[in-house]
Amino acid sequence: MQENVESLVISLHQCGYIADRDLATALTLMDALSRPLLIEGEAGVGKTAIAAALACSRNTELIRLQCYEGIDSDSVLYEWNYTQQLLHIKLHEKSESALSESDLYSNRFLLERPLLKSIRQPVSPVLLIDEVDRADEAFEAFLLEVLSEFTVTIPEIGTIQATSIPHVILTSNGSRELSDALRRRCLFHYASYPEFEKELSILKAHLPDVDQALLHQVTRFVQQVRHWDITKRPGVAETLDWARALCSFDVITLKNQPETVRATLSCLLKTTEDLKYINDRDITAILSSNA
Amino acid sequence: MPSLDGKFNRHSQSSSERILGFVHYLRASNFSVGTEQAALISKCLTDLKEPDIRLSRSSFRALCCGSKQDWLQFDSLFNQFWLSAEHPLTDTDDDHELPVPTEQKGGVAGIGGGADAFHEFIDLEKSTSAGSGKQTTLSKADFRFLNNQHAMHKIEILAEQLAKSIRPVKSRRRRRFKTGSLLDLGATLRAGVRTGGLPVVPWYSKRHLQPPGIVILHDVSHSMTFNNPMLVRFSRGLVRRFKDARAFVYHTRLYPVTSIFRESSLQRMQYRLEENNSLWLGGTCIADSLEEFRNEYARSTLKSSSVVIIISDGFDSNHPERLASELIKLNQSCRKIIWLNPMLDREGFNPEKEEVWNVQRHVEALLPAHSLEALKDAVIAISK
Repeated sequence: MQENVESLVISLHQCGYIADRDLATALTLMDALSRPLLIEGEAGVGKTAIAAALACSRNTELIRLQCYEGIDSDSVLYEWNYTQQLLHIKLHEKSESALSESDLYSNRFLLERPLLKSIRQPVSPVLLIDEVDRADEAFEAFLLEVLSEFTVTIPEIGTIQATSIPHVILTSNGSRELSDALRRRCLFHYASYPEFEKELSILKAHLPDVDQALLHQVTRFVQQVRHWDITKRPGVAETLDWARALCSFDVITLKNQPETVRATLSCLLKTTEDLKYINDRDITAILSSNA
Repeated sequence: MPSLDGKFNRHSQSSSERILGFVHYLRASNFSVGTEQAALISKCLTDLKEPDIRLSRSSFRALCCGSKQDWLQFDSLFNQFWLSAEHPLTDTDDDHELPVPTEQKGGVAGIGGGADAFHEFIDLEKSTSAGSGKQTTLSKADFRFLNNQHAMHKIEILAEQLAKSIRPVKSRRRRRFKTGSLLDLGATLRAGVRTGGLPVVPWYSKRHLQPPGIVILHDVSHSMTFNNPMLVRFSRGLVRRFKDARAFVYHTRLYPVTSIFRESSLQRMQYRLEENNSLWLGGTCIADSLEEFRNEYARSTLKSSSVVIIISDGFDSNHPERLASELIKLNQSCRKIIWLNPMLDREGFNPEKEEVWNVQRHVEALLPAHSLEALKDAVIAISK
């Protein structure tokens, strides 16, 4: 298992994701125990990217199910293509052959939605159930059933057994408390804001062409911003955006550049209150302390 | 890579007990874990042929945590249970071998009576088949085998209700009242003197209800971890039932907690208890704690009618003779001492071998406290 963890860290790194051993261990256990992995954490810390990186490292497909308020089982399992079915009936009206019900309710007219699609793959895909906390409790209970059985019953066709068990990753921003039943069935990982070294490594991995000194300054600045009393702390995604924005302005260093920082700060801070909270003096203070 | 040989493989016959102990320990810290997690940890360790400590910690964390709060406190709990205080695992420490709990010197399981208690726990696990399925009703369910969060919560509530069901005792002395069934002739005549005998104003005498004057000395050392969620609620019920009741918790030192137990909000009470880290981590020095109580608090809290309730499993790092001596002194200042011991009546506990049994002759009653049924008997003894 140690080898698996080490090799997973390396392969995730090759796919552009800097994973720590905790995460790699949880992902390895997910395979060993055939259990879903629930990842909680603030928005922008890279929860969704884990699934993409895992799919990349396993060389398999990533199937994403984005949860939202009011999502129901129909929209995640399957739907019948009624338009195609009607067209098929029309075409058969002039033909002499009889049209049976089984012709209409066949795989040809079945629209696979993420859950059904994920269990009908020849190779185990990575199924990302994103922001599960946005869905309601009834949908959560439905997910529990599907994830424990990995079978789907379609009345017109019958029960579909999984041809492969997907690697299931659920993410949650903690906007709603998930049920104990769901938590109990999942492995758990908490993705927190990365520490300086890790965040710098992420920046280096994603922006290899950018000057190392600038990345160093950007990382240190963001680390300090996270300690401020702001409503929405910047995540890794915001740091990357900001670094890209600075590059687009041909900024080489943050030293003596408070105006540029102020102009691009909207990449980091996403609310008016937060932008108002930080004044030029704060920015100058951070930049001078970083220098 | 450092190996966990010394932790699990070399002692494979007892590794399952240690894992179970760890799961119990996490559950006492409000983790939603049970036998399923214990089984998964065992399976995980089987898969880890030569597990190193960091990998084990990461695996256990993924298996046992269910929320951010669990995640954040897991490291310290893992270190407290498995590692000695002198050698905590740090993020940069890659070459750390997990010492077995028997060798602990400063970890939770190893402080004071804690190490003995840990072995006691392991011995008991060997001699009993753990599992909530063994119990048929909540009232008979052993607190130690409760895996179900809902059942635990229900039992906590019942324990508190049970404590509140204690009635004030009737005093021996009679007092005069304006109503009643027994005429107080003396008081009636004395009242009539002022008006020359007429009109007759009858006075009655009856025994008034007086609170039992309860003082609780509650052991919160590590060995009581599995019992305390329920027993603390029992103590809280007693304190909230009677205005004059006082509560103290102790391990190696004594702390007054009456005001905390009186909190009307359970969450607030739990928060205040958790706030005081010093309350929860320690070995057990019962005799020292009793002496501290006698010197510092007895004069202001004890009356000749007081009932002192000691809630403890009796694992003490002080000498048994000191404990006996302190009990004798305490007995002189109160009406009776009732010792509630959650280890009594449990399978595998041999009182003949335990020094705790020696305290029986110095207390009014030594009673079990491992289930609601046992607490009912305790309530009867307190009410007498």
